[in-house]
Amino acid sequence: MGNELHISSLVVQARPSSLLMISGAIAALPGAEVHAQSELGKLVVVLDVESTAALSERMDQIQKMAGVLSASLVFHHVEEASDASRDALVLQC
Amino acid sequence: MTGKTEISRRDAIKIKAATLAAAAAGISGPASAANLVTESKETELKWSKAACRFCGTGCSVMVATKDERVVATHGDILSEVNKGLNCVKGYFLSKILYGEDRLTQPLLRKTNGVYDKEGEFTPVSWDEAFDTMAEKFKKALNEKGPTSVGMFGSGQWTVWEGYAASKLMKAGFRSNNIDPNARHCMASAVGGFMRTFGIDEPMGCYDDLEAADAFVLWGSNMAEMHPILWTRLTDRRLSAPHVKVAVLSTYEHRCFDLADIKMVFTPQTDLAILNYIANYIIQNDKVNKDFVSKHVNFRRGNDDIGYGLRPEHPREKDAKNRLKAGGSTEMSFEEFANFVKDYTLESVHELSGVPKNRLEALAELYADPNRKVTSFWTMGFNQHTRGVWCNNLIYNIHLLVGKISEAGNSPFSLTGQPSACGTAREVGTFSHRLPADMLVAKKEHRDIAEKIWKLPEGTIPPKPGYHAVLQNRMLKDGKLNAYWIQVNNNLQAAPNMNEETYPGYRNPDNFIVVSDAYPTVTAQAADLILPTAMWVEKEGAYGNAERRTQMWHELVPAPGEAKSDLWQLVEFSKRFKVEEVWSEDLIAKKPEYRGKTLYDVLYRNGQVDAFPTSDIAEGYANHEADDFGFYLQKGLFEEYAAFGRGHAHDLAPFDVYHEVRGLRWPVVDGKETKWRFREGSDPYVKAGSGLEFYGHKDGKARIFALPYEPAAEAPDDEYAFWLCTGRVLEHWHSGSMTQRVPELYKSFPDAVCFIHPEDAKAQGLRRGDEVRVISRRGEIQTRVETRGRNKPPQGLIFVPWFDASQLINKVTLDATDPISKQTDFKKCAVKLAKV
Amino acid sequence: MKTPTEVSPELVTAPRTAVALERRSFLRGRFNEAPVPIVVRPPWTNEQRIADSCTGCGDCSRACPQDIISLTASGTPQVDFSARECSLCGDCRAACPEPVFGLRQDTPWQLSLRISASCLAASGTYCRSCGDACAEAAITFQAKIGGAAEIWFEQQDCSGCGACVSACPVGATSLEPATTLGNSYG
Repeated sequence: MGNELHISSLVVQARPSSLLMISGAIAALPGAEVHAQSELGKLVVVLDVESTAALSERMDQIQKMAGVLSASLVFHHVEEASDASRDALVLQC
Repeated sequence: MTGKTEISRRDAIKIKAATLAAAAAGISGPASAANLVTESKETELKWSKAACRFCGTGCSVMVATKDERVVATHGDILSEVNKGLNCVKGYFLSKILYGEDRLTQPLLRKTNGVYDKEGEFTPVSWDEAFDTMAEKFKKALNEKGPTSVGMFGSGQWTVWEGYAASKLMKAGFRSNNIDPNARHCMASAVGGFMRTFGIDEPMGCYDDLEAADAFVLWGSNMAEMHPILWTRLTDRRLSAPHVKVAVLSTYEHRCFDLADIKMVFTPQTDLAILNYIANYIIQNDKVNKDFVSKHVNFRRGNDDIGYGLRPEHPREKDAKNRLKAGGSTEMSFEEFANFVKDYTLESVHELSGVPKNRLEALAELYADPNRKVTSFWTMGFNQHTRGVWCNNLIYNIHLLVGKISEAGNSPFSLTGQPSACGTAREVGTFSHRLPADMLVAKKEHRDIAEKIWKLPEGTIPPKPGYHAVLQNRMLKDGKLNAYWIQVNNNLQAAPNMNEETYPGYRNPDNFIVVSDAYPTVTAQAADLILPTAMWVEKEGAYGNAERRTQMWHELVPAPGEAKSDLWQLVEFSKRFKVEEVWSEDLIAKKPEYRGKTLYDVLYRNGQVDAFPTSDIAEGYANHEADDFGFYLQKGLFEEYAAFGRGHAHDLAPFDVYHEVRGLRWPVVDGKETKWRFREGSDPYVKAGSGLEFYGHKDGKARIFALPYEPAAEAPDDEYAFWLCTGRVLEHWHSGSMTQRVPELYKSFPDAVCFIHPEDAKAQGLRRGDEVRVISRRGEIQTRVETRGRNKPPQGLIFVPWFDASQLINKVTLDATDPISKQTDFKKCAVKLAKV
Repeated sequence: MKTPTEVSPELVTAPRTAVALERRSFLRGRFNEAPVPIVVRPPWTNEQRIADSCTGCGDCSRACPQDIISLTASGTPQVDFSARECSLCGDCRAACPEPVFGLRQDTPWQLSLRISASCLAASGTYCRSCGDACAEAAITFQAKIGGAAEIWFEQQDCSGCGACVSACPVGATSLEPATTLGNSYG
């Protein structure tokens, strides 16, 4: 563990009234970046973490935030950081 | 790897991730995505499109490669079919390439260094493999002639693989003994189309899913087998409350969750239900008389046609129209009305076990002139000893009310394989067919093929070859001796394997070759195994159930020495001189072919080799072109397309398909066709006619009077249960790919016997108990499942066939539809015994 | 059978609850805190009985025909559903020489389903593996427009067997002692 590269993106649907607060809170999470948002309350979030566990944890944290209605994984790229050609996989839209 | 590269590569993957998410959310792209193009080189990730390798839906996926490996896939947002979605199999698609036991070199059975049918599999070179194989094929051809060689192919062949194979067998070896596994899957659908419309494949398209007011599922578990289409159907149902969903099956399955009208009927009585609906429409004066008088003829089909068993079987001896199964005579509408009038609500309720109010509700969906109805069916209709009849009878209903060939009004035959339509059917890899719906039995059709192929007149034999089930019987009987199987697992898939399949493979007179990516049970029963490149390890084209042709590039190299089926076919053809396979009088008609090889005659004919390797899109490999020196796929495609262009099967130019997410044929002047036979949508319809079923010369479709007839084998006192076989969501067909994806294996590791809890109790069985499923032909051992996704009624069990450790086709019966020759895998009689 | 339109999101507090993930107040929540490891104990046991009586002998682990009971670092028994389910056969209970296990007729355990955000069905991939594995039909799916599905969980039907955990292709399902989930399911 620790030398894996997990890059994923999610679409977060927030209550439009809480958008600013949620956007700030997500950006404060380790490894999370907010790349885009719409006034309808959708946010595009990219996570850069070191393990599946960390990914799940971060996604859980986002989903638990008050004002977050849903968070859907769109893309997930995994590879070993030390040997980037091996054993990578998976994604979704 | 330097720190800088690491960071920028990371950033570029992030931008990719963000761009995809933004597209999925409908948000205009993030500002940072502007960097994508300049940064993408450093990510070394290359994204390309491809068609999914599994079912006939034809989803498009985006595939990322890096350092010659597939590293990511996701549903293609630009695809009209799946609109960015995937099912769980598609989600793990990239993993099918990387099973631990991929075959990487040819394996020949040997003892002490020489070929021995009873020997051990030993690695050999391609040269030794092909030399041995050519020797066996030549021996058979010399001793017994062309009918002693054969091939079993697939609806998973790419378009050009099926085409090259068909050419090699029918023109090269002059044997029509080539059949695809689509015979087990779509043959009855083909028979239905040809009989009713005179031209194959659905008139509608998936756009019907968003336009229909009612959906009727006949023997189709879309929720598990076509999940993306099911998602679209569900969307329509949820977003338009007036939409109704009716589901008919012999057991309750996942589709029943959404159904408004649920019907579990006694096996085989679908024939009676179909006739009841026709009768209801007539009795209630709901016939669209204008439509019927303009566009429809009535025919009385031959009845009592037998069950496609061996001729000496008592059930065959008694069948009066066994040899004229497809025959029919003219009749009037009044005679047809009279024919179906016995199929009353009362009698059909008695026969089928379906409550009367549900039968009426179903019939009313079709009868109501203000409701657009789309009917879907798959193996429940096709794998049926009266499969062609079922297809004819559903068209009867749609034709009586004129609900056809327009958005939402659609009788729609779904397919199980990714290119059952594109390859098996359109290319004509069946034992009786040629490209573009033509037949080997018709002289004018053979003439057309021989002309396009630049072959002497009389090259293609006129007699249809052995179909799938007959190939197994002929192998067993020693009449078919050199046999090549590509892209399928027929030992696991074919019925009655103990009695009819396995003996033929191990018959000492026979030489069996299997091309596969993995050591399937079929490969293990072979004498020679050829390691095969799969999916994006080669350039490919598939055609899905809505006539959509899709292409992809070769994206990664195959492991070890594995080569595509196409490469194998073309390379093998080099080993045959024309004189070794053609008669002297045939060669005399084209003396310039004397001394040439089949490779020269079939693939270096000035057409197939017309396109240089420089035509290959930049940045993509092509291992066949590397070896043969020309753009083989493009040449084969363009030669093949000549059959259909101008004949209602028009394909676009080759290069177009690498740019678009598929096009639905006929493609005329760059425009695809959504609804065939309808003026304004289909360019082949005569102006002013509004609608024209141009497949038949009179421009009309045919309604067939066909009765209910019983199943080939039904439960009795000793064998008290119906056995129905089928698939599950997580696994595709025989599981040779999906069982090697750890996540899918984990989800559904072993086959089980789904059974009603009361039946289990009566047999002294509890959930999880081991049980033997026994027929007159064989038995397997499995475990009891009384709950979960499938809920059979009392008296019926369901066992999926994906599990190589529980071969349910030891139990099934090799009864086939006498017209389509397709096996009925849905009905035979079994008993259960507690272990 | 309910049709989808009859089920509304307001049913979150009804017995049949949609598995919306636990949503602590954002203002209260310290969402960066490390999660406490959650241990599922063998059936018919609880933390109190284990603390009082378990000697860490491992007899329960050896007796388990499903091979899903192991000992934690501190020597107490835990159940891991990731490979396969618990058949509730009671062999662990029978093997235990100490009064760690309760009566056979007691409810074996109170576990609640937890589904992480990596769930395929929740994000639009057509997957039904946990629901299909659930013999009690405690897990069901409500289709939603757009391809995603809402997963519904009925606590009172759940036997705690864990079949949904081993069936999940992405490891998104877990079972946790009901108490650790507090009131999140209403």
